[in-house]
Amino acid sequence: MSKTDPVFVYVEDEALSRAVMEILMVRGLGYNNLTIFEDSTDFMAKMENLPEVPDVIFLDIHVQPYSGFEMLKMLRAHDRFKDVTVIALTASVMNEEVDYLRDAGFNGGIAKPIDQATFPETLQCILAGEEVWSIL
Amino acid sequence: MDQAMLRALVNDLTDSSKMVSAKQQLIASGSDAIPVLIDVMNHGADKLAWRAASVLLQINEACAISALIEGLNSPNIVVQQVIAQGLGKSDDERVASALLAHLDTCPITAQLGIVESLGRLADPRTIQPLVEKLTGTDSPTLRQLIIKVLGKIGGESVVEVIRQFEDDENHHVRSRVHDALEAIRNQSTIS
Repeated sequence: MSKTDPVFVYVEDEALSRAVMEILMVRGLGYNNLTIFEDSTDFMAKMENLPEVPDVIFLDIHVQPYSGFEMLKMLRAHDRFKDVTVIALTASVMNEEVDYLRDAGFNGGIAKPIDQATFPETLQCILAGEEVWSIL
Repeated sequence: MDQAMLRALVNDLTDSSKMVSAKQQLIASGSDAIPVLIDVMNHGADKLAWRAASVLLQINEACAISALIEGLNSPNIVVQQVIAQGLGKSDDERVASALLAHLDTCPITAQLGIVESLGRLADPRTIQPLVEKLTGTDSPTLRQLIIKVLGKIGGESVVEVIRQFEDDENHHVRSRVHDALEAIRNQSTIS
């Protein structure tokens, strides 16, 4: 996954969290190919309408109507998206949540609010195909 | 290490193949690297300025903290955000007051970082300003983060304020109220 212009999707129902991520990705890192969904309504229909398969999908776990876990399940069941790197974003900081996320099939997890000082390195690892668990 | 080498290292902070090594070397250079990092933080393009600020936060020396506090007024939102969030890891005694002074004046995305930092600093002086911010903000994201922080540092004194948001229209806020009240109950039980 070493494209110069990777494609990202972010599903997040908190407006400010969306704004922070957009500033980091677009202004901070220069990644312009970021699509943001404001909730998980019609999630797979929106995914199928994307012109390209994303390189990385960030899913807020506690979004509605479908949770991050439910969206992941939909993605893994879809031929076009089953192999995409999917990263969970969660404000929970319980040890067991990492186990849930791993067992569910996420490729990594990032704590919210995102640690902005280390986010470039975190994203670099994700784009290199590494599992990243920056939850605790 | 001379200034030209330090500047070259700073420029490497945006090169994905060199960024980790460059950051480590700059942090190891400590105070020698601070002037060039401050210059880039204040005058560099978004990406480079952000990375310079991140390194300054990790160097965590008094003159770096002064520049970072000043950076809360930066016209560069990426820099403001990373400083606001990162200053909470400093043990410099000026930080809590500086963050409080910017709680209402920074852009709202940086205010999130300030609240997070104030929670990490756990300075009792911040409780009342956070209560005022909680009751005055329209942002559910800010509301839920303040509730989380007050649950951690506010103790019994903030229970009634937090309860006002038990029926908030935002599900994240309602969830945070539950968690914060439980955290306060647990603190009371322990003490």
